[in-house]
Amino acid sequence: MSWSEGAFRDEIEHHLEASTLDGMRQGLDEATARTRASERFGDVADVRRRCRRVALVPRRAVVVSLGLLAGGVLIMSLVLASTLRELAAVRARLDTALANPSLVQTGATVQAPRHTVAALLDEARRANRGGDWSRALVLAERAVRAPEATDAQRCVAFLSKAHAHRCLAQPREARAALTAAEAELPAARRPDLAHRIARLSARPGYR
Amino acid sequence: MGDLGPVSNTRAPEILRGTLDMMVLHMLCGGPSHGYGIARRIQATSNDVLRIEEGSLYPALHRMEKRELVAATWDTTDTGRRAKFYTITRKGRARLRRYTHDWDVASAAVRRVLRAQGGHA
Repeated sequence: MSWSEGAFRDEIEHHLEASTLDGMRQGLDEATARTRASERFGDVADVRRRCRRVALVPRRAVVVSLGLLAGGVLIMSLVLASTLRELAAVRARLDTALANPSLVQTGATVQAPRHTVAALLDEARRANRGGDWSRALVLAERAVRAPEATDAQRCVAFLSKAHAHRCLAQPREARAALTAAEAELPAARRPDLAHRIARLSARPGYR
Repeated sequence: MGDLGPVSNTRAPEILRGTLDMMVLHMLCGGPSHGYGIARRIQATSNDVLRIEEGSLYPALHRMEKRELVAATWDTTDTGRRAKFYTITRKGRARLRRYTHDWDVASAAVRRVLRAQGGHA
């Protein structure tokens, strides 16, 4: 329902005319009848103001609905923004950790280094198996340099490097890596790794 | 002669405003009518006891139109004049039933109170 000044005027004029005619039917002259009709109607300006307010002021139910909708959207936006911020922060930390484990020093990332080194070693192993030895070298080197890497993890990383160097026909580097892996053995306390080093040392390409 | 002038005044008690709406809706149950016709019919039906302050009828009609209790269309009167005719809607009939029930309950309660006073108020 919208406000129309013309419609309001027409409606009120009809009312006053009908009331005037009634007065005239009762014997009043036109002027008196019109005056009496106006008196009975009351203040036209006040009636106009009240009708206009009815037309223009939105219904309470609509206002409440819009308010609830706006509130809901605002809350959802805040929750979404907060979640996105958190996700972005987590992703940034993970990216940093994966790109350079040696930079992992403080904060929440401290809880992840073992997992990160393990992930690097897994990736290096997959690269070796897939024939991507250059990549295997890079990943193994990162694992070796990670300060949070355990002795056993460093040992495994050196073994990965040794394997990659051997496949790249770099016997001297392969031998050096194998020696480095051997040096980690006492602290690593991993008989399986000792057995593996002994087995590799006997193979050509490491001598 | 009773004057229902304050009935549609926004500062009037809610029961009075509801009374005006109830009477208007009831009058429209008899068929479409314009504002002047409604005022005259209320006055005539009540034997001139109730007289609507005519101007105040229109904010009430417009409010009920906005709440879809009545529908309005422009038509021509018997005298050839263009006028806005109001018709009660289904929603308006439902509201009228509620108003009537509330009125019955309230008026019965008032009667009981007056009887308890012994009729010597």
